[in-house]
Amino acid sequence: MRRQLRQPRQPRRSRPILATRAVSGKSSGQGTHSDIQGKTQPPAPPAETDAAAFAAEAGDGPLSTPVPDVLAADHERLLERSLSDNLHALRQALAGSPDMVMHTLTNGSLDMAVIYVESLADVQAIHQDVLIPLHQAATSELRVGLAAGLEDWARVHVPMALRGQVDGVASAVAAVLRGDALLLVEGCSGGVVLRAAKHKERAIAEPDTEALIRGPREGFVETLATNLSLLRRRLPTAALIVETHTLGGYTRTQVALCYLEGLAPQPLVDEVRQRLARIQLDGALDSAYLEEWLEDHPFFPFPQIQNTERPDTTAAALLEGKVALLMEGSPFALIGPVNLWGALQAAEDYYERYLVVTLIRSIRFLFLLFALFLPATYVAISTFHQEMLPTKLLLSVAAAREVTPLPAVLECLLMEISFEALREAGVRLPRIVGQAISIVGALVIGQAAVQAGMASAPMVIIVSITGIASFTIPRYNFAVAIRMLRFPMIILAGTLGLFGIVLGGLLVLAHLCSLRSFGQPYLQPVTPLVWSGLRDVLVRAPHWLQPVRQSKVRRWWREEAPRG
Amino acid sequence: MANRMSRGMVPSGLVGARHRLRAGAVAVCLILCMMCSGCWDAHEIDQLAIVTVSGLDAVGDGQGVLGSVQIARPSQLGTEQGGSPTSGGGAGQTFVVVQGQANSPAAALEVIRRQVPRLLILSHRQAVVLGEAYAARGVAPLIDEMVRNPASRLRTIVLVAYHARAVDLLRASNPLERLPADAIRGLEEQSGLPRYNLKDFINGMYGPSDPFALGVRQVSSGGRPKLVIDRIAVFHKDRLAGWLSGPAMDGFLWLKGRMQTHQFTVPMPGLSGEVGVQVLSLRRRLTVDAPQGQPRAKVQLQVRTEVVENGSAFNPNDPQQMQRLQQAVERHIREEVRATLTELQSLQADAVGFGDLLYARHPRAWKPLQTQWRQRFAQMPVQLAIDVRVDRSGLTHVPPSANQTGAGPDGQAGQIGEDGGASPASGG
Repeated sequence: MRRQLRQPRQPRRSRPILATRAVSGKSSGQGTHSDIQGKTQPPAPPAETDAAAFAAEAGDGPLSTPVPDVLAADHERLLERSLSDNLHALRQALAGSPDMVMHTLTNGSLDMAVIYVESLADVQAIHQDVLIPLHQAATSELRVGLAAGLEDWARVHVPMALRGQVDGVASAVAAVLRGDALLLVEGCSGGVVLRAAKHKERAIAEPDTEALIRGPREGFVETLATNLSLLRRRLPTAALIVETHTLGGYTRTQVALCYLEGLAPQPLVDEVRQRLARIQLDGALDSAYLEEWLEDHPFFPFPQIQNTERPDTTAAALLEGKVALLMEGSPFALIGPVNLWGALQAAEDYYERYLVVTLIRSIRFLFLLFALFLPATYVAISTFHQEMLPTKLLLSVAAAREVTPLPAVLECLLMEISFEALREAGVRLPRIVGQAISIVGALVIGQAAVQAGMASAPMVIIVSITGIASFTIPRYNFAVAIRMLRFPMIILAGTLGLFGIVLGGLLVLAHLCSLRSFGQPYLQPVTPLVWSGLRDVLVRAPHWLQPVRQSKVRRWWREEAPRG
Repeated sequence: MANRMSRGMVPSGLVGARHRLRAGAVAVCLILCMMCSGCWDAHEIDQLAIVTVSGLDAVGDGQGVLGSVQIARPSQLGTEQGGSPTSGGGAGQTFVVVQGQANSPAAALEVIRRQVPRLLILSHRQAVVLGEAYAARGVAPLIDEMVRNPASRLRTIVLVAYHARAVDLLRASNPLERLPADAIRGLEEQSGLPRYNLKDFINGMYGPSDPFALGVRQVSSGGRPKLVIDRIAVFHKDRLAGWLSGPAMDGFLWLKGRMQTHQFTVPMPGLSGEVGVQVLSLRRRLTVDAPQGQPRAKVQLQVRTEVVENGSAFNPNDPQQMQRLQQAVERHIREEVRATLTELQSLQADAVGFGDLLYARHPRAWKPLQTQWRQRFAQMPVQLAIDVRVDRSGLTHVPPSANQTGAGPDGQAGQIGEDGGASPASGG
């Protein structure tokens, strides 16, 4: 029985579905409302479609926990004409929110109510721009246009930006919980949502994870609007399309899909949109949640989506025809498709002089190989192929290993694991303690272990070089993948020698060749070979030698699309 | 079998899952098998006995050989342990010598292997030292063993112990180097015949000419033994035929074209004292042919030298004196080469490789000579054409000690005049 329960899960994603090319991308996300952000969707319509999708899955999806009734669109109660009924419904729906404020006011015979959550909304602004004008207006004037429609009426009488009109209780609650103010008027069905949300947000700072010496120092923050403004400032063009989607049954997190129209291939955009539509989550707290849903190959270590805190990197990716996803609450933008070579490129590569960059890139590539193969090679040569070492080196290594109790493989594994633990402790602990830990670790592992004869000095050197090597890889998630693969490589080297390393290396290489990121081959400009792309792989050609419009994805999509 | 029976009964989804599970289990087993097969070849470095030099001596009259290996002691080589690793003898010794007696080199190695608690690896052997007696008996069995043994390298140097047993030389430590093997390697590199290794020796042994090897001997200076390479062992194929030393060894190096950085002094004719010159470049050309079945050879040497030392009243600015210096150098080289040729011809050993050359250039002429090459080589006339030029005489003048008292401080022209005046008398 249990097996059968598991059976109906559909394969979530295999290859990108290129046949959906005909579907027009732009029309799908467009609302009919008027808003300051022209292309941004209103919160209500996607909420409905998502909730519907949610309800459809609710029967068999193992993930789906029942969503509260009030959020389920098919059960949605509509707002009535009676203000008191509406208030009652809202009070019921928001019973668990003591910080909700229901401000009723009467102007002459007209009863109105403003509902907002104190901790989310800009109380001052509501007071000044909603309550006072509504209070002080003449009742006769206030009644003008009320019959024509609530939204148009509010546009005349309330000097605060509108988000639009809501008709259902659920949408109203959602708007209030997002921090906006809901304006209800006696005798009118529906309510008006006013933009009153105001959050505390972190100041824009230099991203710690992607530091550079020369280049822009701004980093994304946790607020989507701020992040979009950072991105838009770099790309002040109408070609920058921002589509918002809402994800997460409870969190209703806004996700902005950004691309440059005309540069990003339409099938790619459609594909990303489709994958977004498949996501079923209760809560999306960071863009990392999305990453795992969007990947082509979810079971393999290499990251197929880039994340960055840098608006400039994001803008550059968009200019290359890629697609970026920004999410409310996450300072990390997701970028796709990516390739292996991109993992060896830092933002600074494009800001520093090209000769230096070329040298540094080759060093990174060399150290990428070190990070993957160096400990394994040391183990293989010192246990299987001693004749490959120069005599003096062999004697030095032999002298160092004379007292060590463990075989080289075990010693290497132990040291590597200790190093990983040390690194993890350094990252996770509070900064002050972390420093102490790293000192202790360096002393214990580096010096005391050697002096006590528990580990050999060459092994310490190898492990440190490997550690440094893995830190030279600019993308952290890629470096982690390499670090993970190092362990099977060491075991292979300890059991099969250089032959094992060759085997392991071939496996990794074959795997990399088969990987795809949003349908694009992972080793793209090199294999399949795209000559023009080689100008920005290991060598960075000067900017004036690069093509003016350097789309790194387009070519592949254009060529492959008809076949799909 | 039970599994196969039951397969028909279960729904298809279950078969897939079970099938996948079993495939996974098989894959894991295969991987484990593969890894085990590798583990057996693994040898930790600290379980190795690294042979740096090996030696072979003849024992008795028959086939008996005494093999010896010098094994590095890494624990004494490390920097961590402290103590001076060069202290001769006792616990601080950086190496141990293990010997074993048997009837063949391979069997001797086996005897040695039994005495060493670690795995003997020969792939880092720097040199093979042959005892003089063993070399005289014939080294073919050893060479054969070394060629067949995949662990021994063809770049190993071959040395012959001069009037000594190899095992005794293996015990000599050098004060400068940590390991005697390093000392031997270093001496070999400085000897003027660098990189003449096992491969070259084998080529000589199986080619038309004869091989040679460097001769190493032990001298005792200040009570401490040390190794010297100052001789060349000449072979008749695999048997030691004789030694070249002194001028004959230098002449051999001239003939081999290996005198690129040699320094030597020649007496300045007509003046007391000697002038030291250093070779800047050496071009050598050997030609052999055999008109009417009579082999004859020509040796052309083009030597460029510089003056590095002037211990006489030689004036380098005087063309005539320069001429005489060049003649003197040429005479010196000619004497050395002649000494070598005389020695080699009397030994009937063609270590220079005239036979190779004749075979390569005139294979038809070589064929009839092949069988009696030793005798023909011994009687072969060799013509020497030596061209010496002293290129850099230096800008310094006559040494002040050689100055005649009247020259005074202004004396460049005066000096030349005086020297010029002195030269005809001394020349005659």
